[in-house]
Amino acid sequence: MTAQSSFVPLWRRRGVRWGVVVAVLFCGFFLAVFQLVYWRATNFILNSLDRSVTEQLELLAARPAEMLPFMIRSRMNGGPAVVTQVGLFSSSGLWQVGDLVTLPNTLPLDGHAHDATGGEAEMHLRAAGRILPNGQILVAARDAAEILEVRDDFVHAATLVVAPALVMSLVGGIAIGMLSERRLRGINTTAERIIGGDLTLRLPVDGSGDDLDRLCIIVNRVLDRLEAGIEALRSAGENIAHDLRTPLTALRVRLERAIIVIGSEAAAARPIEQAIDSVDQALSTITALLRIADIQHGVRVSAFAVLDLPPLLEETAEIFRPLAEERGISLSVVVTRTAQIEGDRALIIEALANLVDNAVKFTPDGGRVELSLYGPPARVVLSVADTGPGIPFDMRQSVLRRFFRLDGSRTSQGSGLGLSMVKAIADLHQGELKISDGNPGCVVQLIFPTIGPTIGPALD
Amino acid sequence: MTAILVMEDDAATAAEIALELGRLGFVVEIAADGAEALARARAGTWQAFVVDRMLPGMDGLSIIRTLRAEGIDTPALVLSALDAVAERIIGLRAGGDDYLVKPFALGELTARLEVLIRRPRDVEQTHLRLGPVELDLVGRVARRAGRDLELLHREFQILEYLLRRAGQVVTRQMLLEDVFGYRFELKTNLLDVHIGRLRRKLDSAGETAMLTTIRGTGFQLDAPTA
Repeated sequence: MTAQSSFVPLWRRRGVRWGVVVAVLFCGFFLAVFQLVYWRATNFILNSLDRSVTEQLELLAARPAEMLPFMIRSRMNGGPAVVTQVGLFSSSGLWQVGDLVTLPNTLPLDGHAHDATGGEAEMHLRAAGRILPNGQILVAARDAAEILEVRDDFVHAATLVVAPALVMSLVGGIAIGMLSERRLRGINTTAERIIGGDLTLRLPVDGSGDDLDRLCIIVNRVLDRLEAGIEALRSAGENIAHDLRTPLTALRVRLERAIIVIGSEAAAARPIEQAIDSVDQALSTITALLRIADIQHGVRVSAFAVLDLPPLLEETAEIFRPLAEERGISLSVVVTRTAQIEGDRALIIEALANLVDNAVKFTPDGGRVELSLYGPPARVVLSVADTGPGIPFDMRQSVLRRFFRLDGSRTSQGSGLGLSMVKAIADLHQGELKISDGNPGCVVQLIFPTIGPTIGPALD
Repeated sequence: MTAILVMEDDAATAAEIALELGRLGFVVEIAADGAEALARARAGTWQAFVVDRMLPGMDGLSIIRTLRAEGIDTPALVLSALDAVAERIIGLRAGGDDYLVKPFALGELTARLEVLIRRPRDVEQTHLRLGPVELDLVGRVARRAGRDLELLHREFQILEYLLRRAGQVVTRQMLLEDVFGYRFELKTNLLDVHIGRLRRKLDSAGETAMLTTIRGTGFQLDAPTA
């Protein structure tokens, strides 16, 4: 159930997973917006660079060739405000005039702006060049470093914004996820206990009115109806059982009278005795059902007291040993710890007697039945192990159902209510009933919470 | 001779109880409703009361409580359709001396009633004796004609229980409840095995059998008559 699943690796938890998903989506969105703005900004800069470079190129190229060197030189004297570099090269690429002293060697000379490197420090340039009618090469270029600067600025800004956003959305996402997970877990735990039989419990409702809350309210209303229905059924069943007792009492005493009148040796006495047996059988079933209902409804909690388990085991073994010995079955008690529980003495004795009775009944002649007490200090395991045929794995839940009997045991005595009774008694004591394989045979364990200090070796 | 007053509203059940008790030599009178039952219980001297818990007019436990408050301590056997242990405790606290759940075997009813009427005399005794059988309750030794029976703990308890009710039928249910503390049904022959072992030790070859089985009801221990 829930106890085993309390530790789950971080990445497997739903809350954490949702948190990561939210964070990743959030950051992805952020990065996409940044990318778009960056792209638009750099494009704008690039366009204006390209325009100024090509305009400069066209302006100069339109001048007569003999005036070009002069014009280029006079441009250069224009001062630092001139940001476009211009160079005039011979047809073989040798510098002739201008502040651009090397011809970017990969530049297509088609009059359009392209990426290039050149200048004094092999700078990143946007450059446009063309071949003049006289064969000279004219190139105009601008430093494109500002684009890189903008890109750096964007990367810087993005890290400044995205990293905290990533952390915040991760934390926020996980927190939201964990909160809803905790709520789901609360609902889950309650649901498990309701399935376990406590129909008085209701799913937690926090009044937020959200989907989950509304669903819980609906489930709770279903549970209300169910509980009322079961309660009605139960009290009807009990009334029927009580009302059956009076006529059955009359029937039974009359049958007994009949035998007395005709004499127990008469031929007709036998069928009458069988009729009495049938009445008794019906009655013991009703009685057992009523008692299970009583126990399940916790009527007996008032009879709880501190019980010392080891003497109860010894006593049960002592009572059943002659029965076992008749069939060569050894009945032993192994106690490896002290164990005090809070409980109803008569019921614990009944549960023990039922289990030992069953074990002896189903163990073949010459077999073994062992009663033992072990387990960690806080929970004591009371086990009854036998060397009988065992209970097939798929039947282990079914045997706890009322009236269920394994095929092989239909012919033997018993109502099929024994284990249901033991289960009800275990439940009343906040205990567990477990059936497992004894290899060979069957092991039935009753696990109870203990009280007070325990002394002695704690064996798990 | 004093009589047993049966306070029971179900006519058939009351009639059969009366017939059976009559057969065993008791005088029986029947009261079918609460007020009548209380009035008659107060008016006469009775050997025992058989009280149905749910009587019209006044419930059985109130009748017993009233009688006890008035100092009438005639043994009372409570009959009830309610069989939770808590109900039994309520029944006994009200002043009932024994509690029998419906439906019951007639033999169970009569055995319990006889036990109530002939209560064990001195519970404080440390030595019990019946014919050749001797029980030393302090030393936990049982002997028959000087021979140590070497009884196991539970066998000793059974013998003590039977000996205190010698000559009376002791039912299986009485033994299971009082000696084993089992107030529930077990569908095994657990009791027969214990009784069988006790009988082999008690009645050895050549000795007169003292422990007899009353078919369908229980057991009885008698002193050998020979």
